[in-house]
Amino acid sequence: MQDQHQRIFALAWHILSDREEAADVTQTVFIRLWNHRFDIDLDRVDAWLVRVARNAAIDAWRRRRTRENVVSTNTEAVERLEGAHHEPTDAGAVSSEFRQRLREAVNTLSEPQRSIVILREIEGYQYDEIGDVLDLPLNTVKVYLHRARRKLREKLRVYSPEVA
Amino acid sequence: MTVLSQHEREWWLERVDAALDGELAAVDHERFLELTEIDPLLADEWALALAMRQTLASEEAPACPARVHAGIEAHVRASLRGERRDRPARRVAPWRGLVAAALVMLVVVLTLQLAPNNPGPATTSTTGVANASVSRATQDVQWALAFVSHVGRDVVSDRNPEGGQ
Repeated sequence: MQDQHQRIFALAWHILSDREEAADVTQTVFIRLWNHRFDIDLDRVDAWLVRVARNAAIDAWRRRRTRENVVSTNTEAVERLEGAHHEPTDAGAVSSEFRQRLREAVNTLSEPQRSIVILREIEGYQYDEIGDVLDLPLNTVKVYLHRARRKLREKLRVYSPEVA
Repeated sequence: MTVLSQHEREWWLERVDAALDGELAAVDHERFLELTEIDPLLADEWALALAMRQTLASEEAPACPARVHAGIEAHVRASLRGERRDRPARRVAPWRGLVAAALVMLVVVLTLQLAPNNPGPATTSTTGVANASVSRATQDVQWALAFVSHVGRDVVSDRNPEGGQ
């Protein structure tokens, strides 16, 4: 069960870029799972968990944005993560910058494109699994992902690909 | 070296994602890779797509805090305690008593029906009493018949005093 906790926590963290908020979302999701344990189809519990976690994380993200009243770029979270790095080489610094810009670009995507990028590119879900989780047809998932990737490339085109 | 026309380049640029996902036919994929060697724009787009994929795939989340497991476990325990407390006392359903009584009756009846006629002291005694009754009843009948016969003879002799018939 702790593997499931980690999997859902990772998804929430990638959406929120905040450890405490992701932890709250994970706890909420599994408490809801327990409370609805007699209503959920056990064969589809994984998809249920991911769907509920994604929705809860997006809700938390929107609440935070409303609180801050600014477009979140999650720079604090990125800085916390990058702060653990030792003195970087030039290539490492550029690579780190590329990674940060990419995170920021992903966070500027609208839903469901952002979730699809996270599920596909970070979490490694298949198209049909994403469609199942987000309740979208397979072709729609592909179209959204195609558009999202193009947007990301447009935002990151100024960076030389070799930096990554 | 082939120089791509604008139209051709756009056509191949649209297929970068398909190439990334391995969804191009083998021949098309091979051609695509060849073109990335000779067309700088297509090469940049392809390199950027690969870099993005590699960077996103290497994203790692921190470990889930222990408080999450503890919180979920505490909720489950509290929920189970609540369910036990709210559960009504166990009662035997009324129909179960009726069924049990019917079964007992059935067993008693079947036992009486299927029990063999066992000649024992009680049965012998009963038979003896019955035989005595029958014997006495037979004697009563005989006495009654004799009395009727005797009275009949007296009546006849009173009607015929000379002894004639």
